[in-house]
Amino acid sequence: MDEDIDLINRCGAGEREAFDELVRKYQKPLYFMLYRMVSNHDDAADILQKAFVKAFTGLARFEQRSSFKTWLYQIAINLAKNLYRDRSKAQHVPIDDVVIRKDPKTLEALIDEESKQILRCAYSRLPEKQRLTLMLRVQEERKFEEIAGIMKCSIGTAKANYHHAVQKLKGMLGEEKTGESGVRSRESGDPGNEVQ
Amino acid sequence: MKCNNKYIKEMLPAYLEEGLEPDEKLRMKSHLKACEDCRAELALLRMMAEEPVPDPGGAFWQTMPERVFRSVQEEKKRRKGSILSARPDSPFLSRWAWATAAVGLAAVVSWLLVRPAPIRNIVSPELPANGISFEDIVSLEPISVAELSSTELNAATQWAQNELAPMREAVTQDAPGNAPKDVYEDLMELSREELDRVYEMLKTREREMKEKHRKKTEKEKDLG
Repeated sequence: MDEDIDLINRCGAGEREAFDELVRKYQKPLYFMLYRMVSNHDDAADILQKAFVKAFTGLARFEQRSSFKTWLYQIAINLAKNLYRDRSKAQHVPIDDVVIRKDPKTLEALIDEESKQILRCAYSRLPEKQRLTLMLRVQEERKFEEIAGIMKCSIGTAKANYHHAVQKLKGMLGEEKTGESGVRSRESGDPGNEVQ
Repeated sequence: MKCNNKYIKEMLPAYLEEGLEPDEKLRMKSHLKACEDCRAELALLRMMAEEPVPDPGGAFWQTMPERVFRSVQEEKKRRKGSILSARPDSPFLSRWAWATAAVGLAAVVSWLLVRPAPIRNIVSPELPANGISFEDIVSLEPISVAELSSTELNAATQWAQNELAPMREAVTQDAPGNAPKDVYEDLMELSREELDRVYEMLKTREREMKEKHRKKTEKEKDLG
């Protein structure tokens, strides 16, 4: 964090090298997170650039109450959320269209591509905060403290959102025994259990 | 069977990342052996974590800093232009210019409303009817009425009349039944000698009042 502050100060003084260094430091992890959120390269690249522009033009407003990384991630996630809302993208394939080969009654059986499709489908139907929390924890490997900072919530809330997300995923994937067909079709996300 | 161990559930991602301390890792392994629910959950998390993200390639990463830098410069120019001046294709100022102008106007109006009233010379001695002011005729030092010329006496009389008029009005308002004596007329009827006598009487009266006041004060001191 101290290194980032030093780079920010040098950026503010007009040092181009510090600017480039900050971009190079965060462009990859930020891009990969954004790709997981929006599922395509063009949107991820567009949001990545906009997030950097917003951060650098708003550096005077950065009060250093959190790390620069957290602040940058907040900006990027908000831009991605806005894109979601504006476009109302459907990122998933309806569960009923997917053929289940393996026994769906236990999660351990879901290991082939169809299983992954189901997982992607179920994941995309999670409530926004739960989906983001799960993604940040599992795919971005952020600690709950960092997630709380990015999502602007308490650590307890971040943990609760994570737990609810996992339970919901398991439910949607047929962890509960629903009958011979294995996977039951569910209406898109009941928003219950999303912790603010 | 569903597992309700929140601590283990929270630790699963860290176990996947191999970020646990050795004793915690051992505890986790032991639990997973016995808990099907947590094994299933771990499999789910592993599937999510291993979900690949395509790498856009070296050129993308190398050019990103330059693209960002140019976009930042453009954005700064755009913001500067909209704040400082009206756009050439629009007759309207930016909202910031309007806001600044409104604040300035409100400040000017407020100052005009609350500023103290200019001090006017409310003391404007009126000239006597003959156009000559009392100050023009006599010095500030007290003088004997007997030493005044008739012109000076007339001016003095006029001046006194002007000063006495508001006082007379205030007094006679409270006693409407009493017909006020016209002092000016009375004075005008007096001769020079009579005026002298009136002046002497007033001076004597003043001395008596002062003496009375002095004695009263001494008596109060003696008692006090």
